[in-house]
Amino acid sequence: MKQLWLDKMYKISIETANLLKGKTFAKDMIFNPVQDVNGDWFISKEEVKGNTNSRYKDLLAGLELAEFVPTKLELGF
Amino acid sequence: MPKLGLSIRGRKLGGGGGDADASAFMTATGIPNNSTVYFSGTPQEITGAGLWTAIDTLVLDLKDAGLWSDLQAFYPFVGGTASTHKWNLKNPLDTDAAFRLTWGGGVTHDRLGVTGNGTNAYGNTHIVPSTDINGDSSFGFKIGNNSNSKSVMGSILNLSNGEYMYVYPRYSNNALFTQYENVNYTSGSYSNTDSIGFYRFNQLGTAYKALKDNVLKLNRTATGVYPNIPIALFCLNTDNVSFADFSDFNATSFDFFTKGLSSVEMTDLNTIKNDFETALAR
Repeated sequence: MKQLWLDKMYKISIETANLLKGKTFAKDMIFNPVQDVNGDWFISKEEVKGNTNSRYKDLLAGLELAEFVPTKLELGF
Repeated sequence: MPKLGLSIRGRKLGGGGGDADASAFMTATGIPNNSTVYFSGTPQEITGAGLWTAIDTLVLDLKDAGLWSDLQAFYPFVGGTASTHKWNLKNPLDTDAAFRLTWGGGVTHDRLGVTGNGTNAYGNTHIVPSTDINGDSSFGFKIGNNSNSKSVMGSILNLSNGEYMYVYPRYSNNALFTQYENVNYTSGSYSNTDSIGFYRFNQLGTAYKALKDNVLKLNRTATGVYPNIPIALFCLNTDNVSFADFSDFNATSFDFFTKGLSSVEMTDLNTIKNDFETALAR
């Protein structure tokens, strides 16, 4: 069974997160950097693989995958 | 009551592009009404003209069933790309006000529709529940994969003491949802060990119904206030600051938001959905 809450994503600095947030990486698709429970920033494999924006090509080339532990909302159920 | 089955079957023999609303939507997607082949070599292989016919039939069926005029948004997800999947069938303008979707993070677009990645993928509908669907309402979506995941859509204002609207189709083998409620109400829930299906949530006054395919899963009564921040797909929009509780549900084609529906209209919508998805082999 798939492990629900753990996944690997590309770890980025907060500066890179601020740079990429809301920017277009492919037609009609924008970056969405997210923070994990440890406060580190990440973008997804799909964004790195799907990037067609030459402006970010070099920046993304050096990224490495790391374990991502998402935050969990407390909705009471 | 419209004779849906007969009208659907009859029109499928005809050509596409006849309805002006269908034509406007397909023109916005950029899909040509010709022999261009999409998804070659797959069970979903279809021509551009075939997609035009499918959308034409869909729009005419919605109109025949009396469902069209009250629709606020409807996302058929045809064409297999972010650029073809973003359009609102009811109002295919490239603006937030027209509820054109904005895709963020690792969303996958393909022949089966749209898929979240469970970590940061989202679609912003720009639909603000408190102003855009306030009052009796109905919404729904089709899920094409069986996944134990998190939220497929939602909007929450003030997490600790606020206004909630969300759906977790299969979360620890239960469907969990709120439609028009505040923190004082416990989520509606029913056992759900397979996320595949067509989910609909309907509110008329304080009466709520949750259906999966054509099965009534839950009746309940609740009150509350709709959140005043946009609904996100594949996750929750929390306080309009960030997205959270991402899911990896697949092929949520046939997403819709409309007024509250009668039981007959809910059944008609399921029939129309089945015909549309069958036409696209998904």
